Amino acid sequence: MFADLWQGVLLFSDVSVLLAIATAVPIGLVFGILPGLGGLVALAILLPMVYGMEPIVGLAFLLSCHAVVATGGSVTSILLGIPGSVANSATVIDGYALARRGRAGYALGAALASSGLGGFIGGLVLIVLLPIIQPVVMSFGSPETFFMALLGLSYLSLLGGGSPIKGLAAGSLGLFLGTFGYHSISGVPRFWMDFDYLLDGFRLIPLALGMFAVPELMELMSGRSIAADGSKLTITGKQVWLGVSAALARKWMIIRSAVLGVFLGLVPGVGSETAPFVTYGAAKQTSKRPYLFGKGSIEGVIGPEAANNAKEGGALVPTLAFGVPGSSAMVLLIGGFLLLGLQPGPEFLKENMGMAYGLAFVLIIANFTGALALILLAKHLAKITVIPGHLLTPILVSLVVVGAYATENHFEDVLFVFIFGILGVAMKVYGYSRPALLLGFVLAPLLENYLFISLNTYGPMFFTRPISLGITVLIIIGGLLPLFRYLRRRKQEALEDEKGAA
Amino acid sequence: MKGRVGNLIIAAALLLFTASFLLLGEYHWGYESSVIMFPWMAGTLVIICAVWLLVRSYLVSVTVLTGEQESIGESDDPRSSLGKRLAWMASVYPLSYVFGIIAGLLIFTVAYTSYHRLPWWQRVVATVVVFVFIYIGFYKMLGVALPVTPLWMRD
Repeated sequence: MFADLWQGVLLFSDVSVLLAIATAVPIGLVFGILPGLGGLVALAILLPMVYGMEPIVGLAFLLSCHAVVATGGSVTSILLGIPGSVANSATVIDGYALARRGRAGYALGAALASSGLGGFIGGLVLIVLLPIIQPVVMSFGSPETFFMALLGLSYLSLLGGGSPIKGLAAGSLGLFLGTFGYHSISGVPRFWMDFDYLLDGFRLIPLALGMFAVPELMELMSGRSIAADGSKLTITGKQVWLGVSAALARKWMIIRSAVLGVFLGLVPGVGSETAPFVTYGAAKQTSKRPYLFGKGSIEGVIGPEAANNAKEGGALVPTLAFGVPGSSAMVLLIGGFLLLGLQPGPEFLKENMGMAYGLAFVLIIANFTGALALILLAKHLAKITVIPGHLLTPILVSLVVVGAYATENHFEDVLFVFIFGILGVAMKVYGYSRPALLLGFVLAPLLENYLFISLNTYGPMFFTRPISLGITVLIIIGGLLPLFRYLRRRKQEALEDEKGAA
Repeated sequence: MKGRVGNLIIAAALLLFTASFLLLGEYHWGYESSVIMFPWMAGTLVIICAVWLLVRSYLVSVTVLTGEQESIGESDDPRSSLGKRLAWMASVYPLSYVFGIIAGLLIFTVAYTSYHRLPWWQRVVATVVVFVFIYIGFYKMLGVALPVTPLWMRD
């Protein structure tokens, strides 16, 4: 273990890795500050750029950028009441209330300090969990890995928010799209329609850019600037430092929220969006002044902000150990692994434990530098929010086009960005889960290969192995939960209708 | 297309797309069973979901269906209507293909910022930023082999 840990330190302390972190952190902060352009869009746009990089450098670049998106998102959540990313939604409740009372800097300082410390704790927990989880992962064969991948897909599809059936449809469409092109076992190209480009199937980068960047660009093209009313941003350095002190004084709340965030982040597809709200509730329950929550409680800012950075440490565990993304953004991080010639999963941990530790260190340093940079520059960076959407659009469109082309030097990739963009817009408008589609697409070859190996090695009854059965039960529970939730909601609606009629 | 009709069309498109490819794979291209087994598994799941969504589009109230929908940025400005935004987005690929990526994107930037009547200095800033990112950053510094020549000058 210590040899791996030392290797992780060596990998992480390489100059090119540190340079990648230094480049990615400001980009992530800016994407976080701009509402709508959260971690998914940032990763989709940056994904093509890692092509050809050393694996640890490329992954450090993507992970650092994503790790600090939630830190940047706290700026607009507090100043404008608009969550910079989904993870900052809970921060708006008390952060914006404090800002309206002229204490924006105080809330911001507390949020940034909590984010930095939360991310730090998330990275530490990841370092502790990796050696514990390794023996468990090593007991997994092809059938278990197949069911784990299926579990991740079903959880993200069914529990990832929105209509469960639409999530499942999106996930299975992703699986189907992932079967286009050469069949990895027989080498037969499938569904290629005599179009050479499709021999290798659909490409990940055009799909990711089309799914996540194009719909957000369409929204940006409506012309809205983020601070539409030109809201005056009043932050003083003194207020920010007072906020930092307030967070440090509540260290136990930060530790509690961060650990809760990590464990919620462990559950694929669930923790990412719910962790900040769960920790907000937990912070309220343990607070000495719960009546202040919703009216401008600093603890209502500290709890969710510590959790939303820490959860990424948890989300990295299933991503690295099983190749099953712990959150929507981890789907794109897996895409980064694939582009760099790595396949996360049991084999990855066996052969690259040092790199896994290195990534945990990247997470810690990125969170720390991101929070520190924003504490020092918050009032200047916040001005980004007044940039008009029409000014940002051509710049981001250019990055999307060049990013799509540069990966494989195919003009068709650019065309497919816009074709998938139409699909992405339709999915967004009609409430289909876009991360579920991408996850299905990424997992399709993995699922097909593991299914083939399992069938050939263990026969058609491969699912009767004990761990496989256990995971199957979890998949069934995951499938039944939304059904129960739906039935309960219908019952409540019926009761309310009856009351209304009475 | 809000509510019921839009949901019906999406579900029908999903059904048609998947079923067509599966049937073509089975009967037209004649793939072996081991080759098409997994697409059948994934495709069947899509078809079941699509049929369910078709039926659901009729059964569920319009309020529920509308509640599931997300807007992609409403705008009072007729210059930023959804149709015009789609047209602008659709123009990016032909411009880049015909004039080369750098010239195409610069034309897009100038045209887009001018159409939306941004102040002259903002138009200059956007154009310079795009030029610096693409030409200096990607083409010169990173050495990405971008197709810079226009269509009529390519081999």
